[in-house]
Amino acid sequence: MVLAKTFRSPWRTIPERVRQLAEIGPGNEFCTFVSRGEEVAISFGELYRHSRAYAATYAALGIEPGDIVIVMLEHSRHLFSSYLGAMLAGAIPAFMPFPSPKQRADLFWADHQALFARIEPRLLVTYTPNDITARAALGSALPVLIAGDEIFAAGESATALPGFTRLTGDIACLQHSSGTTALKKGVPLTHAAIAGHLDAYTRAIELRPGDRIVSWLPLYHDMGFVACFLTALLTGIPLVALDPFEWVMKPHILFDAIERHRGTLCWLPNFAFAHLANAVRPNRHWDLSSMRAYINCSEPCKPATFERFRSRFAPDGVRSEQLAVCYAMAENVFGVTQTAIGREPAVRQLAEADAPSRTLASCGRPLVGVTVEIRGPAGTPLADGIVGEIFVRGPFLFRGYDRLPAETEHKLHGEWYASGDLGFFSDGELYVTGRVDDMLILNGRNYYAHEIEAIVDSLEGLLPGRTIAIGIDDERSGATVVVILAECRSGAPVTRISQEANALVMNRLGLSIHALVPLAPGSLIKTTSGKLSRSKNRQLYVDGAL
Amino acid sequence: MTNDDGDETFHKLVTVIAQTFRPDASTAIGPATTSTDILGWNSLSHTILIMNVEEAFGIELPFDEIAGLANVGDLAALVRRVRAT
Repeated sequence: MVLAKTFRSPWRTIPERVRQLAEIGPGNEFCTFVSRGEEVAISFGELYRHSRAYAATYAALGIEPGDIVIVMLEHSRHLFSSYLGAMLAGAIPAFMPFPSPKQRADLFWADHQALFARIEPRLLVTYTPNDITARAALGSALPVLIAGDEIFAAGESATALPGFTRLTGDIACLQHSSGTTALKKGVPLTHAAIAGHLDAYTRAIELRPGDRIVSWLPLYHDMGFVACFLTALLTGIPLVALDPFEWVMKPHILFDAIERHRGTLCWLPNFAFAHLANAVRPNRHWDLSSMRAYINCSEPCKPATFERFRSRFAPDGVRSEQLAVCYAMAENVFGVTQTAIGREPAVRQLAEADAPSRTLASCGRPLVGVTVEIRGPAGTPLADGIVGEIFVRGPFLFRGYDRLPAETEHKLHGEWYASGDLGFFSDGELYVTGRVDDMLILNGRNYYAHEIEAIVDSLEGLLPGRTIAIGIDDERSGATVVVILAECRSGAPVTRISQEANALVMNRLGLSIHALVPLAPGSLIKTTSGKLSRSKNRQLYVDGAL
Repeated sequence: MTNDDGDETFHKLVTVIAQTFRPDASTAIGPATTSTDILGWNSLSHTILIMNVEEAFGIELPFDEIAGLANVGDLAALVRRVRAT
């Protein structure tokens, strides 16, 4: 095994590390940025120079060490330098998603106003025309900077960059949870936590010279941010960065990039394996033999989807032993467990009461230094094979959410983090089975059923409090989709209600609903405590019994 | 917006959309119909729809234009234009 010692040069902070890499090899490639078929190589020297220009611009705008800078950009090479520039300025950057064309700008910004009132950012870095709606909604409360090449011409700050005086235990950046904007939880990551995670995770994936990461993942998601961007930034392993929106429309561009650049590592949520199998045209072929691992992460890995991907692209060089699984969470920087690279993940059958048996893929063993424990309702550790809540402890675990003390108290128990995920151990490997709460994982992002229900509940024609949002595996797309079970008033216009519900959820969450199932009053069944039961009604729906 | 009544391209397109998303029978698909009006028409399934449209008409739609379509009428106009070239 090639240990990642190669990548463990002594460094304390990200600015220091990036300066090192830029000085050691200014011409070395950091990233090949791909957009609309055009490629631009970005060297460490150029990245560092551009980031310093951003830092100078931030300083001129009055940004001080510890200030929060929100980076909300479409696919652009400014993503990297504007973000790193904030760190060089000593500020704390946070990537956030931009509005989709389907979202109403006024509602998008109204939700952000609530979020920004809590996290108090000092600057929003964005693009035109997003800056126009942002300024209209936010007024002078939050200055807006438009990312553009003219910033690169701003030159460097005459004074030393405050980022170099940051300490290893200082907060480097914030990662935010997905889902409802106003309720986003910020996870502060220290330089030390990022470094510690990098050491452990690069060992788990046996990162080595000659590797090349290919990614279409957005950077506002921990998988794109940590596994792809930070790994490349801090190890010098090059990244090929594709546009997430372009990839959705043309999924084959991932294979184009792997073939052209001899890619070796790729992280994908489960739905992406299905999308590639469904939407890549059958008449094209690639040489994908360079790949070491396709790592399934951010959504429960479904072995059937994995197998469909493998068999569909076997003629192009996809083999079972290239498939791997990671269990990750922003609270632990990213990775918690990882299957061995070069070995097909193990599977287990899970038999549950009132539900068909399920085949689960292993998520592998905990990273070096990380401890994972399965606990029962009383908080006691459970034996192998018994399902309970997954608790995580480790040297790079977060110390609490940004400005959310109640949330922190709820989730952090001493040095243990209560993940809210359910799972069990078998032969030392973790299997994730579901959630303690009503969280739905849709396209790699997390939403709570009660939030979706609250959004649609007030629609005219629906009976208040008689709506349930459930996640369903859609066989056609291979993705998990949200279905709403709703008791309707007699004669209510169901099609119009469905369209209104879809528009409302899109505006508030950027999420499409798959179907709204109209039900007669009294159809949904309750738990013994008198609440509507999501699990029982979901099962009835799946069985066709509603 | 042109009147699409009797337009062969438009009717064929509506058939492809209906086969792709299988909306309930009361969902009328017209030129002003948007993806939000048809449940299940999301960014992933939009790609499948485009594949199905390309297959049904034997054409290839330009990527730069398929992402920014506002409604079914726009998609029909794009298909007509590509078929005419």
